[in-house]
Amino acid sequence: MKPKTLAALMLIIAPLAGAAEVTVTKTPTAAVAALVRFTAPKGWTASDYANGPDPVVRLENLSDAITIKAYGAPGSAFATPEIFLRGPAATSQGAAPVEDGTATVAGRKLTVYRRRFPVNLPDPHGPPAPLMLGSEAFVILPVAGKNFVVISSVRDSPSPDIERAGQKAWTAFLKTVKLAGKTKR
Amino acid sequence: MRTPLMSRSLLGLLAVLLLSATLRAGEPRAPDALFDASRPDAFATGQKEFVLALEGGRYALSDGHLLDTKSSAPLTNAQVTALLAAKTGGAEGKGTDGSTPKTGDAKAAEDATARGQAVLGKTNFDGSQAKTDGTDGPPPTGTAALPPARLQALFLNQLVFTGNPKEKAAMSDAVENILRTRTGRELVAQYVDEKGSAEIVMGNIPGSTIVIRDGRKVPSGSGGNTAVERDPPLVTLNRDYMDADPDYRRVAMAGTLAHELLGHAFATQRANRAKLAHSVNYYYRGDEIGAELVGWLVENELSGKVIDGDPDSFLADPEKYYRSLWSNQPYYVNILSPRDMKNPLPVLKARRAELRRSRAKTAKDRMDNAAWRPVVEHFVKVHGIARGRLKPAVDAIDLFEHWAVDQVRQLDAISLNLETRITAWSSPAGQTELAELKAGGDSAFLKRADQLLVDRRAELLRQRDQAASGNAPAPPIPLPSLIVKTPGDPNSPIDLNDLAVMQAKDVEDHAEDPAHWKK
Repeated sequence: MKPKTLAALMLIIAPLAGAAEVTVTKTPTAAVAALVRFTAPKGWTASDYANGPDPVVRLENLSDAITIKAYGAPGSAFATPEIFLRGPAATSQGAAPVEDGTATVAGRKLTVYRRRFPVNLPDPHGPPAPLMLGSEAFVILPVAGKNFVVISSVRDSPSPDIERAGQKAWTAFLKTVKLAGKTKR
Repeated sequence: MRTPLMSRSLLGLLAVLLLSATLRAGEPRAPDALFDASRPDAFATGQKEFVLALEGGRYALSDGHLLDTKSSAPLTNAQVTALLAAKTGGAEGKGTDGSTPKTGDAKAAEDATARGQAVLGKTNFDGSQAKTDGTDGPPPTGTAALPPARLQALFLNQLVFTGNPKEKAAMSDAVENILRTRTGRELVAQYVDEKGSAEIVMGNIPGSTIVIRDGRKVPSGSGGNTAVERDPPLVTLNRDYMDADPDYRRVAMAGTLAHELLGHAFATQRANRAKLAHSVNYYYRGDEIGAELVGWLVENELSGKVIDGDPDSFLADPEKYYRSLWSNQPYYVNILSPRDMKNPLPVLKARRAELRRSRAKTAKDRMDNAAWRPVVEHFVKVHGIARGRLKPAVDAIDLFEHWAVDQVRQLDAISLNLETRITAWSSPAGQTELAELKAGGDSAFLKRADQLLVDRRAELLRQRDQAASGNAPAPPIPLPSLIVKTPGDPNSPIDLNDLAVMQAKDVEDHAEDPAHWKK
């Protein structure tokens, strides 16, 4: 986990056109930047990390976060959008995510999915903790080759924000997303 | 896709044929119950003589039970099954793979029996385990490919069970169930090959009691723990398992035993053998989740689901999971990846900012949480919704507030632990441990441990996807969900998420009427 300033992040997110498949050879931010470009909300903190070949950029403001996760590279935890949608990063404790309208991202009309997920991890070696669920809305954007990018609005708290600041920031953020290379049609 | 294995199928068939002669149709016998030798159908032809001749007459009939004269304890159904399963191998003169049983294996089985441990076959007296074996994927090789009864005997020979007969029978049942899973069998084979050892007891877990969860009687506390500093390691399983629902116990005890024994105890023994400093495995961030993955895989292969813990958070995003742990308990703020171990101080110092963020986040979340109380009152007073329907939302608000108050205290303790560690490792006295960690970060042990995390995450994801797409093999001990929610009921309870949807719609509906939300 390497927190970066927003300015540094935007320097790294340079357009790298024509990337066929993502492998995390430099930084997770650069790997994501090879697929999509975007403008982060002002004042939000940026960080990046990778789960093996799957890079993640996370923009956050306390309990609200926007995450950009790339999948589909060789060895990816989720090789296809279909597998992703059946898996633990998309489901609500095993239940399929709920479809909730559409959003236009990079010129593509995409389904908006919603799910809930536990936010208070129990002590891994202790008794179960009372369940508290956060919420996430996400879209799946097909990009270069077999890669796809999941762009989420994450609320890491069981209490919804009554002002919906995170949701509004995500809606505005989606309008800034552009493909860095060719896309699947 | 499941790959049937000839040797396992044959053994299962033999066991079923042998035991079916001893069973009355439709009358399952609980594995934990004492064996009733007075029943006219208690033994098939030759079985009684076989058992009574074992070990120079160690077993005797007494008051309608079969008594172990060494321990003076009557045998349970599961233990008698074990003795008869041993007969299955001997009576055929060959192992189920067609080979002649090795003297060492037979001796191991005898030794295990002599120590009061059950050497179990594939079929329990209740017959519920006979149909499937919780495996798919490629056939096992090496020690893992040994016939189950022989592998089990070798495994039991390396364990010491301490407890009363019912507890020993439950522990034997857990071992048998671990061996019915591919992950369990592979790890047991490695444990046998690497001569692992452990003592296993059932003990009291502080604060644990039996509670009803999702319609089942389950222990409220941790499933167990392992004293890795002992030689051999001491695995303690929660005694409350004995009072839990049997179907839950069979899966959860197998998962917990796999977690503790084949996860923690085995990893520690491997680290010791690799001459790794204790500090390396202690601070290694993969130690706990590695054991979790072992237990989760065993549970999933056994029952088709993970019933302990929260696998989804790690499976979905491992790095986010580790980061969440930093603000979970004091111990976890100092856990390190192999890369972190090469230079831990800057890594720990950077976590100060994470804890500051966590503190600010908790404060903001408390304000957000409190903002929902007037919304509840609005829907009661203005919209006439019964207060009782809103109880789940109010409960969630209360729960979070209690959690948040506790979390603020917890963050103080976590910060203190972080600063203590930074101070220690900044001092001359801490340099020895830093050097140990630096060496450990480059060790083959941690490289292998990290790779195992990747492989096991991939395997559990694969199994879960197989199930989600309807292609999973039938589990040996399916655990149906007992709680079914009925959506769409107009009088259904309203939780906080429902309330947020109602509030958003109400705000939209009254966009031209700002006074509505001042009522």
